[in-house]
Amino acid sequence: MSELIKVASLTKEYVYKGGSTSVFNNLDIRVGFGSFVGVVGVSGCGKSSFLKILAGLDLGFKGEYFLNNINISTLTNKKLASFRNEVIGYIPQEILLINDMSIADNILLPAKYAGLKKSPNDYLWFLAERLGIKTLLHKKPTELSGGERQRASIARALINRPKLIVADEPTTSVDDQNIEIIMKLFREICVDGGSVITATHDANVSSRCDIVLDFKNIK
Amino acid sequence: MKIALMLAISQLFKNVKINAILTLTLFATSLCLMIVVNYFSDLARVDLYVNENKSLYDKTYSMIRTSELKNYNFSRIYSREELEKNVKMHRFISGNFTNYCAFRRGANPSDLIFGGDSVEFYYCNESFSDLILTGRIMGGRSFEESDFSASSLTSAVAGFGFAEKYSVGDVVDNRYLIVGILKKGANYFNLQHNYYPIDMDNIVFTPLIPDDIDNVNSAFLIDNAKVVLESREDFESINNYADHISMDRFNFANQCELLRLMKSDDRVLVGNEIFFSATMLLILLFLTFVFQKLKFWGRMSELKVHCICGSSLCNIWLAEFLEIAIILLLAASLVFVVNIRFLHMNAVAIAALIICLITYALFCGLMIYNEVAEI
Repeated sequence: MSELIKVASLTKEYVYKGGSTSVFNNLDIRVGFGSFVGVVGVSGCGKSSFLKILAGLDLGFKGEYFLNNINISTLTNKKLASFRNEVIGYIPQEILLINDMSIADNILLPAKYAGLKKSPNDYLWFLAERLGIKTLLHKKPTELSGGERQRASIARALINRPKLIVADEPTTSVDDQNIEIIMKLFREICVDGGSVITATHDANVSSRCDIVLDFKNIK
Repeated sequence: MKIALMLAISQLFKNVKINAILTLTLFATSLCLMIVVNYFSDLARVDLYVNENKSLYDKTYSMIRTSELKNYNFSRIYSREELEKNVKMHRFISGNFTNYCAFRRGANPSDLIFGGDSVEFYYCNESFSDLILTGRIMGGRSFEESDFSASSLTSAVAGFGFAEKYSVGDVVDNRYLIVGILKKGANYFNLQHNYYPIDMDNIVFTPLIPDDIDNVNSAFLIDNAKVVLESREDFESINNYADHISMDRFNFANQCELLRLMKSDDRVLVGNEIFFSATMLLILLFLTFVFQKLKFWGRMSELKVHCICGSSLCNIWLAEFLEIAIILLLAASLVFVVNIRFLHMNAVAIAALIICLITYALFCGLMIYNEVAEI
C-alpha cells in the first residue's frame, strides 16, 4: 500500500509565559491510501492538536509531515491553502457553519474556493441524500438541530472529493442511525482510495477503524 | 484578491453601525488634526515671512483708533462726515509716508463675468502694488503710476486662477484690462486680525484710484492701512493731523509686536485645540481597538470556516484590512470634500492628514495581523 501520510519525529509543544508543555513527542506514523484510522485517548491528550497538524491548519510543530509526498512545511501560505482545499477535508470538533449562508452554500464553499467551473451540484445532491439533509439545503444553519448541522459540516468536508478526511469527533451530536450512515460513507471513501482519520471517544466508531492510534500509549 | 474584496464588502455591511461610527470618528479626528497642523504651518509661514521682511516690518504699523469705536465695524453705520475724515486721513498718510493697503470690495454685477461668486475683488494702492504685487507677478506687470488715474478701462492684476481663462492684454466686459497675472499659490499676510495667509489665486486686484476715492467704501481705508513710520515724531504728526480734522487719535501697532500679541492671545486657543485633537485621537484608537476586537470575536467562527474551506491567512488578513481601507477611504474623502468646500487648508495640513491615515492604516494592519494569527 502506498503512503498518503508520512509523519516523522513529530513533536508539538505549547509555549506559554515561563515554560512550555509537550503534547506529544517524536511521533512516527505512516498511513496508506484507503486507510480508516481512529485516534482515541482521553480529553486533552493531544488528539485535536494532532488532527489540526494533519489537516494543515497548524504548522507550529517540530518534525516532518509529508502528505501525498509533499512536505507541507515547505509550502507557502497561499499554496498550502490551495493544497488543503484540494487534498484535505476537515471536520472540526465544534460545528462551524456560516449563519448568513444557506446549508447548500455552506457545503459548496470549498468548491467555490477551488474555483470549480463545473458546478458540483450532482455530488452535493448525492451527499445531501446520503446524509439525510436533502430537504434542509435551502435552510440557514440556525434553523437546524446540532446533528443536522454536524452532517452539513461533514458534507462540506467531502464536497471537493479530498484524498484525506480529517474528522475531529464527527459523531458527537449525531444519533446512532446517522452514525451508521456516516461510517458507511467514510468506508466508501476508503474503498475509493481516500483515507479517513477520525478522533473519537465512541467505541462503536473506533471498532470500525482499520487502525487505532491510542494517544495514551503514544504519549 | 477577489475573494478578499468580496469578504471585505460583506463584512462592511454586516457591521454597518460600527463601521459608520469608526468612519465618523476617523473623519472628526482627521479634521481636528488638520486644523491644528494648518494653524501651526500658517504660523510658521507668517514667522518666516515676517523674518524675511524684518527690516520693513520693524517699521510697519497698523493704525488703531483710540476711541471706543475702534476700527471698522460691520454693524455700525458711518456718517458721511466720518467717512470723509477717513478719506482725508488716507490722503494725508499716503502723501507723507509709505502706506500700503488692499481691501476687499463688493463685486459689481458685471464683475461676475470673471467667474461667479467665488471671485474676490480687491482695491489696492500704489505702495501695495510695489511692495506686494511686483514680486508675485508671473506674466505681465503690476500696476504703474498711470493705472492709478481714472480712465475708461480699469487695469486689473488677476490671480493664477484666471490664467487659463485670460491672458495679459485681454479686455474683460469692455471694462477691465488685464495687465498682469500672479504666480500660482501667491499669498500675503495681512497680520491685522489673524495669521492666515490671504490666498491670491482667486483675487482680482484693481487700483485704488485717488480721484475716485470718494466712491469707495472709505470706512475700510484706515482699517487696512499699513504705514511705514520711521520715528515717534511720525506718530505725532499723524495724530496732530487727526486733531486737525477732528478725528479720533490713533495708537500704532507694530506688525512684529502685533504678531507677538496675536500669538499670546491664541495660546489658550491652541492649547484647547491640541487637547481636543489628542482626546479625539485617543477616542479613535480606543474605539478602533474595541470595535475591531468585537468584530473579530463576532466573526471568528466564520473566518475559521473560510480557513478550513481553503482560504489562506493572507486572504483573511487582506479582507479584514480592506474593510479598514474602505473606512479610511470614506473618511479621507469626507475630509477632502469638507476641505475643498469650506476650509481650504494648506499642503502641509493635507500631507499631515495623509501621514496620519497611513499611520492609522499601519496600526490597524498590525492589530489585524495579530488577530488573524489567533485563527
